[in-house]
Amino acid sequence: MKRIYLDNAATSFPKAPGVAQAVYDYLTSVGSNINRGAYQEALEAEEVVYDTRELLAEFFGCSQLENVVFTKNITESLNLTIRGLLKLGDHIITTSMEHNAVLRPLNHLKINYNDSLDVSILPCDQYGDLPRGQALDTLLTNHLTPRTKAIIMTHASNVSGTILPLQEVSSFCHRHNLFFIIDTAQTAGILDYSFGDLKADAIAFTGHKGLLGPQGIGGVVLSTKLSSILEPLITGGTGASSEDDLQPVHLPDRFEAGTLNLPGIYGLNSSLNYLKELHIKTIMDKELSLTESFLNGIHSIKGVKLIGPSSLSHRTAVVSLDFPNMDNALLSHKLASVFGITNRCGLHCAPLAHKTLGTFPEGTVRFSFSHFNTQDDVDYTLKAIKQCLQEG
Amino acid sequence: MEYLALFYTTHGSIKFKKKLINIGMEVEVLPVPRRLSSGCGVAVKFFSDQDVSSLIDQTVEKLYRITQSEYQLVYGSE
Repeated sequence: MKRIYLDNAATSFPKAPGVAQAVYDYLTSVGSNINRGAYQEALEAEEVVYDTRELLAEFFGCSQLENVVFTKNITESLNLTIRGLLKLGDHIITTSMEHNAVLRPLNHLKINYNDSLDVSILPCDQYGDLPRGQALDTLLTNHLTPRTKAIIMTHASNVSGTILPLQEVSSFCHRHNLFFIIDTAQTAGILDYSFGDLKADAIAFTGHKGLLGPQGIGGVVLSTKLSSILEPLITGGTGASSEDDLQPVHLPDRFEAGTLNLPGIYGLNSSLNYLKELHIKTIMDKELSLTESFLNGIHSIKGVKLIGPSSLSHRTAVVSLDFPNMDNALLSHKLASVFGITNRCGLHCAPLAHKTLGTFPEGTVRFSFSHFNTQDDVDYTLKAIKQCLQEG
Repeated sequence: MEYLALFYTTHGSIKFKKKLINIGMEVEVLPVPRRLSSGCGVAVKFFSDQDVSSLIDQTVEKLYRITQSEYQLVYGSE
């Protein structure tokens, strides 16, 4: 059966050319750990890790390579930042479009602190968006307290593709001396965006989505201000300062206890070089062109409701649909099992986002494109949706 | 003169090594000699006949001048 992969918001497929080979080459030809030896293979691996940090620092606009910290994924990056920063009595602001990777760590910390942690949730509109300009400033100001420590938010929704106004929120944070933490799971490698301009304190990223690398590698780019007060999430061996009973203070070792995912870093190195050569704008233009075509097709089909923004200027290539006359799960299953179209139905680990969009608890059917998809994929999917609706 | 630089982190040693290579210096990466102690187990050996103080950056924990197999500390503390 034909296979059309439209679940790139969950994890991208295919990966960038060269990623699998890079992982294989590390496992079969290098194999050494880093920070634990000074022999040739170890030094080669260290060079690749260094080079990958350099590529990430350039990608996210960070001048300090050691402030690029590797984790296993963005969930760990967000946990590191949230749990390492927030103390008893603190207050943090977030949005109603967040993934559970943000909300669950906040909720668990609140329980750990016997409710002595306040979380304010900015209400987004039915399109998953925040207001702009003065209205946004007023909204943020209304939630500000003397104990507010940070604002944490996603760059774009994993449900509706809605792009949130990071630059404006960043300016607010700087005016009010708040830490600014962003979740780039749905935008890194997807949106042509100057992350460095935000001067964010933590840019959490994952390697396996838009960055087109393997699963199991992610990270966070920290500001020096935040890293100097952040507690490590895990502690242990770093291969350096071994005589010290405590975690060393120097970056990146402070936040990288234990052996790193070196096959993952080799793969990510390969995909970052691919992205650099291709340019993110090429990817974004292609994905939005496919999205535009898909949305145009959807508008002409009866019995389909677009959830989220229709304007291409406010969205990524993540499209959520609701089928009022059909069970979303059954339609999703039919698309996958009969037509080979990989899609994802349900709540997408973002129940609050679905409540905001008015699709809780039934959820939506999500289609998420990558630049590897083609116009034929879009046409085939539209045809398949039509047929499913006709057949009921 | 021959020098041996020690570092806080392995990342720092690579960064320092790259910096020296970029300005045309020859370097050798080796394990830290046992008689010395350092945060990171990797050291960088290099030669220079000029003032090396401008080469020292945040990555360097200690710098030794090597004379007749003796290590003379010129930066950092024992």
